[in-house]
Order: sequence, then C-alpha cells, then structure tokens
Amino acid sequence: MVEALYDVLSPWAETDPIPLSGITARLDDVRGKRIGLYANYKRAAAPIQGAVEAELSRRYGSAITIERFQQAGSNDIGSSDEGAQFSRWLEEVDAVIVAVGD
Amino acid sequence: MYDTIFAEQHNKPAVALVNQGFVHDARSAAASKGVPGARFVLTSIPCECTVTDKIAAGVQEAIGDVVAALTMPLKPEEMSPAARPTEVTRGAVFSGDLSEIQRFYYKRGWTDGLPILPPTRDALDEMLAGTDLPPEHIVGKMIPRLGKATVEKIAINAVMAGALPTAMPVLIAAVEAMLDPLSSYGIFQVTTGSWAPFLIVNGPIRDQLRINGSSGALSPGDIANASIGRAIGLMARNLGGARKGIEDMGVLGNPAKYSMVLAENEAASPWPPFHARHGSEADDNCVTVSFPNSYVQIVPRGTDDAGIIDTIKERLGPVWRQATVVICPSHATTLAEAGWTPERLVQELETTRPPVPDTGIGRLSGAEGARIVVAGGPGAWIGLVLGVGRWVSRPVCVPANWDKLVRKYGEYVPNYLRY
Repeated sequence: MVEALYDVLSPWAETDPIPLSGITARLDDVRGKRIGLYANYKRAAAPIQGAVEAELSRRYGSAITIERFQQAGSNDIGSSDEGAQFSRWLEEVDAVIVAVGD
Repeated sequence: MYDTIFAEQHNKPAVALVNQGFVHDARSAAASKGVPGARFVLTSIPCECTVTDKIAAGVQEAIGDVVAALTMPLKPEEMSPAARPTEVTRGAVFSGDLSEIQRFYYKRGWTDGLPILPPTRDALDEMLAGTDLPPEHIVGKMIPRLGKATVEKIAINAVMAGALPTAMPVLIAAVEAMLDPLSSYGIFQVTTGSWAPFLIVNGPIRDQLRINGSSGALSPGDIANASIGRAIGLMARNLGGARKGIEDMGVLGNPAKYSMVLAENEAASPWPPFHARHGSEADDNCVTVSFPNSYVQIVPRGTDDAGIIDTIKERLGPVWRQATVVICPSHATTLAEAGWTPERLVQELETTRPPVPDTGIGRLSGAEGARIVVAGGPGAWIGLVLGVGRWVSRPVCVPANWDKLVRKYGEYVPNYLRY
C-alpha cells in the first residue's frame, strides 16, 4: 500500500535580521585599570564576585581598582529598572567581569 | 550573558564566568543579542554553589583565562561577526509520507517527541478559519530567539499539536499574555527552574471548546486541554527557539510543558468566576497564564472550612511565592457556606503565613501571592500550583463566524463505551 504524500510547512519562526556587533577592543593590560565586578541575582553570583575580587587583589594588589555592582532584580538588566543605574556604573569602569551564579 | 552583552554594548570589554554546563546557552544568548563573539570563561564552579572553597578553587582555576579574555586582542570574527545562514521558514519544507514527516520534524528538533499532525497547506487554511486576523499579523516576538509569532506560525504549531481551529482564539490570547513583560516569560522559559505555562480559561468559550474543568481536568483525554497546552509548548520551541539543554536550561524538566490547561468549573463554583474577580466581566472569554514549576494535590484533614483552610496553610508553609489554589467544587461549596469568599481566603493565607526564613535562594521578583480557582470533579482534593511570578490575563477574541465554527467542531467529542 502506498502511503499518501504530504507537502508540509515549517513551524520555525522567521526573525528580523539582528544587527551584528563586534565586541569591544580589549585592554592592553588590567594594571592601572578600574575593573568592574558585576554579580547577578543568583545566590552564587555574589560569592563568585567576592572570590574574583580576592584573586585579582592577590595577583595585582593596588595596581588595579575594583568596583562592584550587585543586581537586585531577577529580570534582564538591560530591560529592567536597574538598567540606567547599571549604565551609570559602567561609565566608571574600564572593563567588566560578570558572575552569573550558574 | 545578557548582562555581559549589555556591558559590551556600552563599549566596555566584558567577560562572563559561566558554568561549563551552560556553554550552549551562553552561545545562544550572545547570538540572540547580536553579539556572538561575547567572551565567556567556563568554570567548574557548581551551579548555585554555596560552598566557599569550591567557588574559590573554581575562580582560582579560571582567573588567568578571565584576565586573558579582557586583554587578548580580538580575532577578526569577534570584530566583525558574520551572519549565519537562515532557516527556510516559508513554503513547503518537506514532502514525504507520514512516517518520513515524523522523522523529518523530530530530527530538526521541531516536536516535543510525540507524533505530530502534518502541517499541510490545507490543514493550515482550516486552522486559520479560527481567527479573523490575517496570517501575517505578528502577535509578538518570542524570547529568546525573538521569532515572530505570526498568526500563521501559531496556526502551523496548532496543527502539529492536533488542535481544532476553535482553539486559535485561545492560543492567540495566550501568546499575548505570555509576551506581556509582566509574565516574565523570557526568564521562565529558559531558566533552570523548569517553569511551565499554566493556562486557566474562563468564560463561555470553556464550554464551546469543551475545555475540561471537571473530573481530571489536568489529565490527558480532552482535545482542547491537551492540544492547546501542547501547541504552546511547540511554540516556545519553534517560535521562541527555546530547546532544552540549549536555551531552556530547566534542570529537571517538567511534564507540565506538554500541557497544563484547565477551565474553571464555573458552573459548579459558588463564587464569581476567576476572571471576574480579577478585572474582567463574567461573560468575557479570558485566558490567564502563569508559570508554575510544581503541582501538589492534598486531601484536607477535615472537610469543614477549618480543616480545608488549615491543610492548605500547612502545605504551603512559609516560603511560597505564588500559589494558584485549585479548589474542588465540594470544598468551594463548604467554604462559601461558611462565609468564605476567595478574597477572604487569600487574605487568610497571606496574613497568617509563618515568618519566611532566609533561604539564600536568588531573589525572584513579581510574586503576587495566592489566587483561588475552582476546578475538578466529585471528590475531596485540593491542588496547589506553585510558582514565583505573576498571573497575566488576556481577553479571548473570537472570529465573526464563531457560532458556525463551534457548531462544526463542537460535536467532536469522545464517546466512551460502557462496560
């Protein structure tokens, strides 16, 4: 017995083209720089942030400056009320290390 | 990774420390934000780790790579990423017999593992009869991939799920509710907690679609309950691009992602219907979406009002955030006869909650407390559907030919043999 043949459609959604961006030029050295440590809302993030600070301090001492930022809410920070605060904080640092807790 | 992308978009070199199990998630997240070259360092630190020594060891192991990620010059593809080839999304994508189609869809990751109905052009046209909206109408863009939830794509996924065309109005309203930022769908769909969409349907459309709100409302066997939830799950995968272990990082998973849909048993409820207690008119059709991750069923230790309420309070304990309390009709009647309204009951649950201990688990925003819905058949069970977010409702808009559609599909019911 020959089964019927079907022409079938895709359930996969179209997307608008996302403008692609390169990443920011890197630092030549972390020494002499203000390094931002960001922790999201997950419970491991702040301890990881603390461990990163300890390790950077051990390696670089006063050659780098550490700034910390702790996310309060659990939403995507770029679209949350904290976005503006995070943007202002970013202006004060030269680079960012992100701890996400996962 | 979104935080990392945000920093990059503010012209700050950034790097994320990511658990090694999240490598695909990190790549997908970066690509979905248009910054596929965003740097991350994989670590051996266990997820949600509370052990200081393990965190310190993991960071010590990774710190060299972290510093390198901030200082190593960019590769050409990091400076100017190339666009990936796009999937074919329009027109016929495959021709074959039924088993070949099952294999084709499954191998592309487009199913939930169960067989689908083939979404042919004819089947799509039939499904589109369930709405007056044009096929190209975009209901929204589904996170994380930002796939366009057009009416046509909703209908294709509905066909695959085995839905009847009369489900389309509910599906469209449910997608609208899910995409309301208040629902936090974008977080719940991809995070580790395995949150699943839970739909409560109110209004005359419950009966028109024969959405079960009585015996076994959350069990398989009703085409509306089963296929509406299934279609939502397929849309999360095929429109939102949330695939388990890649973008959907639910640790344990959740059977409710197959389907968790019920109608309120308005006919057997002594109270105004759920949606009328939360801003709609009783005659409106309405769908309410939330994202719980667990569901427990309990028998009260007494069938008077005190026995029912005390048992609910005991099982909720102190740490619940969002509870949809599903009360069966007999208990609802008992409570109403004793003078309890849903509002008073919610107040009782919230004001007598024991002190909340500090669990140390991540702060989750949007908790809204408790809501009461009446569902289920004869018997003495209570359901606690537990989550951490909000309920979001949307009106269900039916097409002009609705009565005709309901007549056409309304008699499509199982006839169980007696034995």
